[in-house]
Amino acid sequence: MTAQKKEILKIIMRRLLLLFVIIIVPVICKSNYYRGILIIIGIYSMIIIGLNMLIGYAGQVSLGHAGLFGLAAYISGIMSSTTQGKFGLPMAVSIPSAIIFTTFISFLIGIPILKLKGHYLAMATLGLGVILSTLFIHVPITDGFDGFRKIPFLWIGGEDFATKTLHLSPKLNSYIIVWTCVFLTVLISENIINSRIGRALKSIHDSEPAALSLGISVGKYKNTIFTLSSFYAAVAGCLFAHYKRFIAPSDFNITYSITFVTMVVVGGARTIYGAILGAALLTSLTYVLQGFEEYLNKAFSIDFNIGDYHIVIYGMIIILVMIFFPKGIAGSFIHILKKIVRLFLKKQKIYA
Amino acid sequence: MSAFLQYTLSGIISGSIYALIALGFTIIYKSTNIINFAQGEFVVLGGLLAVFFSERLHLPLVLNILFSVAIVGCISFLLEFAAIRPCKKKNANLLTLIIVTIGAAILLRGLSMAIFWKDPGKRFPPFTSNATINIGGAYIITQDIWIFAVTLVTLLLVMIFFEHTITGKSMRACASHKKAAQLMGINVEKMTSMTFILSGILGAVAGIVITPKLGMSYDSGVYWGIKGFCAAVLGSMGNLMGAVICGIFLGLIEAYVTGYGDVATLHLIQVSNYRELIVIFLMLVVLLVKPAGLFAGKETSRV
Repeated sequence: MTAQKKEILKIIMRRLLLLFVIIIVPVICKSNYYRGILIIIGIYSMIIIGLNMLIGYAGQVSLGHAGLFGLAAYISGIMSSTTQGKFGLPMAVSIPSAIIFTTFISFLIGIPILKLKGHYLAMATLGLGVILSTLFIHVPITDGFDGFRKIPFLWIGGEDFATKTLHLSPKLNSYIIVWTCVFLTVLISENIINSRIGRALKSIHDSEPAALSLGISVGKYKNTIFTLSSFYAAVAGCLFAHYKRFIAPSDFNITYSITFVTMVVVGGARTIYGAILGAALLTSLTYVLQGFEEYLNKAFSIDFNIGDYHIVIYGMIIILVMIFFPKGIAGSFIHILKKIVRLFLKKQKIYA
Repeated sequence: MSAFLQYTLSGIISGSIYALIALGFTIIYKSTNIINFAQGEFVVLGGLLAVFFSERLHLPLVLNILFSVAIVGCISFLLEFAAIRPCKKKNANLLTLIIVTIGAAILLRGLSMAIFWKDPGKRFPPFTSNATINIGGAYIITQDIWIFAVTLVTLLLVMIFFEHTITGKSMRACASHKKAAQLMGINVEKMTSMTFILSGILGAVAGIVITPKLGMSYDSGVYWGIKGFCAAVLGSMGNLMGAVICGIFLGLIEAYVTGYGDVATLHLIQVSNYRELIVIFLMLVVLLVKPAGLFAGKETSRV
């Protein structure tokens, strides 16, 4: 088999594996609680895949992605919610509007902001995230800290079709929607990476001046990836709003922005599947800590709220991973695998 | 007119705090070319530790300050030693360093939370009795004078340190050209550690001095950090005097916009709610228009 066909085979195998895992897990795991966690992991995975492309391939840090995530959630929520003062529009209207608006806004923001580099870009996006989360709290229509409810739930083909014809439980319904979107995201992202855009990005990442001298419009590519990652975040935001049916500013604050970057870094800044791994690991960590807290409460009858200490652990994880696994866990894994393969090939004297 | 005077005075006071924090950023950048995302957390930790010593252990003020500053200094040393130095040894790129300092910031925020949980606005008694002073119709409290005085004295000390002491000059040498400094016999690693310790001390002092007036909560680190960073950038990263001037300038702008904002927008927007955003917005404008800051010469970089 030619090398090219081998590449294609590898890609297809990975996708089939992902598809297999996605399908098999809800079959094994029928508990609503775990399915709920998997849905959240899926939603975050979409954001992380986009952010991964931005940080890993385009080399641009964004500490404000939770803000974009929240912006889409709020717009779709406000437009479709049936509480007082909201518009009660159908989701077919609110979701596309939210996605288009958020993507467009981030496109506009990206043009000036992506001219910054390194620390300055990080601070600017941090500022952006703070601006957005403050707006979520204070702009009158968002109902402040407590958020608002009664956002319609997203069923496949409408409530009647999903429950009566397909006999889907709400959790299974959302799981299918979310993970289908994740799979599509993976497909799109892999295609982009293996295309001319992806190669241009890699060259930009390695040496921006060299890329410029070769005629690559660096600004255009950076902005493309930034807008794309916001698009993913926007879709994720809509899915989030229409699954949880209730959103509040505390879901989209700076801590979440930083958590997202952590997930990218832990998973591996240049691997798409690593993004999903990072999202899965860190989301599970939160729930594991919660369960641990409940155990401590029951065992020792203390009311120890460990729920927020996960940020201490997150901080330590970031530092440790960056020191010991700068390529992230999945990235390092691949790195080690490649080394082993090369060693093996060396022994057989196959390489030229 | 007394409103204008009031805004001006309160702007200068809050500007002094921003100036102190900006100094912390600038010093680290001057010596190591790193931007320390955890600077805001030093401020918070300094303040909360002082509250802890005052509230729980009932220590006198001087011991409070000494212990808080010492602890934060140690923490910043640890940050450099345990987190940044290993990364630099492995020749980490800029992104890695940024993320490491962010991780440290999160860690320190968790620490701050451990001291006083999530109580907002923890305070301890002001340095001297809390009298209100009337200056031409504007009111300030005695703590304000302390804040201003401390900032001035600190600035003077820092400038003397960098201009007239061997250690200070060594630090500047490290910032200028590491290898040359090493050839001159300067222990670069020691200098880097000292820089971080100094920056931690500055942050802690800022936190201690502002806590009796405004109170401190575990999550205000981000805000302090952003404001200090904005001042540092506006004053040209690496320029001490610039950092202080722009810190005060920022404080003034924030005070004026918050004070006159409601009137200016004809009561359509409640500007006081968006107080934090003023500085951030300014920072974005500065970064986009002149990232080199107001006091920079021509910018060159090796490619």
